[in-house]
Amino acid sequence: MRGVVALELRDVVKRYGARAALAGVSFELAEGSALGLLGPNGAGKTTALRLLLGFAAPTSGEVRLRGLDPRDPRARVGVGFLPERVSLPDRATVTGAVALSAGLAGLQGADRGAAVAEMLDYVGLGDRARDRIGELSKGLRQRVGFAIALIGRPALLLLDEPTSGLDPLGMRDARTWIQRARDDGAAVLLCSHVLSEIERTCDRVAILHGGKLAASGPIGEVVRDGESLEDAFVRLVSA
Amino acid sequence: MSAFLLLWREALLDALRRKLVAAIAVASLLSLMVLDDCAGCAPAVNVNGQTQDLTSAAPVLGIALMIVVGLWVVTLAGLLASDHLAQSLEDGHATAALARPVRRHEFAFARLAGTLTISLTAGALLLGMTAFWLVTGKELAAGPALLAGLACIPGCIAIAAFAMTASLALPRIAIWLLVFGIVFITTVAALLSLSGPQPPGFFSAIDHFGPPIASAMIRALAPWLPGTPLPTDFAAVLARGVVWAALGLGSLAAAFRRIELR
Repeated sequence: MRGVVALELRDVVKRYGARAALAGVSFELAEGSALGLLGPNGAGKTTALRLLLGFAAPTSGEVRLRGLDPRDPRARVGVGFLPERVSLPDRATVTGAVALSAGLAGLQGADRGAAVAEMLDYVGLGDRARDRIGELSKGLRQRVGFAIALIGRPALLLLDEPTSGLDPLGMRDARTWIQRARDDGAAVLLCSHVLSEIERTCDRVAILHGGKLAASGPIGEVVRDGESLEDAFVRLVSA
Repeated sequence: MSAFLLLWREALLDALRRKLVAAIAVASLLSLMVLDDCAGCAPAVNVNGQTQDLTSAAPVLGIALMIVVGLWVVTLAGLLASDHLAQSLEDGHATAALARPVRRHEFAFARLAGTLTISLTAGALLLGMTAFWLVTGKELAAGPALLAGLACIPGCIAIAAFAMTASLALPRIAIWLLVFGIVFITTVAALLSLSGPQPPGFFSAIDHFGPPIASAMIRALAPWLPGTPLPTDFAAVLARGVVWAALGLGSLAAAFRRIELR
């Protein structure tokens, strides 16, 4: 029997003028599982995320997020998103940025304040709560991005290069946060160039190349005997 | 708190942090001082050594003053709205919010409401002070001044909404020129319509069907000059202003729904 699907792309084509960023891509993510979305630069990973969040519409094909059209706001209830480049207004404070996300996630009143304070401590920003975003380093901004994505205990996490800009300690923290979210039952779609991160976090992978799906399935099926995930990735995108 | 209120609060704080708002606040305070001098003066002329009191000119002066201030308020609404949504697309605020269960039009309207809160507050202050000086100093009736203030609101909403819509496709300088251009053309059309014969076709069309920015205020203030041929169909013109405000909001919602976020 098929598990409940957290997200799904079916025969999706996305064109920008004559160029196809995605050309007939299909994959899905079951609730509670983790999928690594891999591909060289320009393969279409970020485009797929944009479609899943309803930021753009597919040229053809079907995109479903939690069973709904992603442009329907109800589809994004319980969804946490971390973009590749965490860009927030420089003049906003750390607390303000996270509190807004908490409010939009449905947290209200005292619960919201407590959740924000707890989340900032969780991602190591408890002592930077009053700082402005513009005063933070890239790594600290990434931690703010994690706080924004994780607040409200989302049931589905969409993470685009989540360890970008983090130092080794930060990368280890990020893996812990993602793993804890998984342990809490969240489904995770992880776009990353760091293949070791995918191997540690995900049970399945989908590899995009030139806007097409080069391979997808459990990591054990995509990787041949004696190969690492990196070897399999190179083989598939060089073919 | 609803998503709209959260986003409106954020949009308001975001607008207050901008240097442009501080500059406009200073300019408005300075203009209040000028208005104080202007509204407090006692008009008189000296003819052949005899001073003649021109107190009877006070209503004309009052109408002109109120309209100039009203036009500034409407222009201010357009200028402030000109990049408030576009900026949120650039700085990532829009994508962070819209990744949550927020409707596109909810986000756009909250950004608009954030800037309108500032421009309408500034407008209430400027028009309120001007009206206060005119009512207390020149003994003009307060009712028309209040109506003139109300008549500005649809104009502010319409111009701000259209400026915000245009900002999804045009640079800020182009929006500013558009805002100044629309306010100028509609004002010229309104003044030409007062000058007697039918104005040229373009201006006549603007005066009859365009956003009634100056013309709504003229009609609201007409009771200050009883017995003059100033038009008095205030309700009809105000209704047209409301229709233009609704069109502005509709265009903003439609344009922002269609745009692809990066």
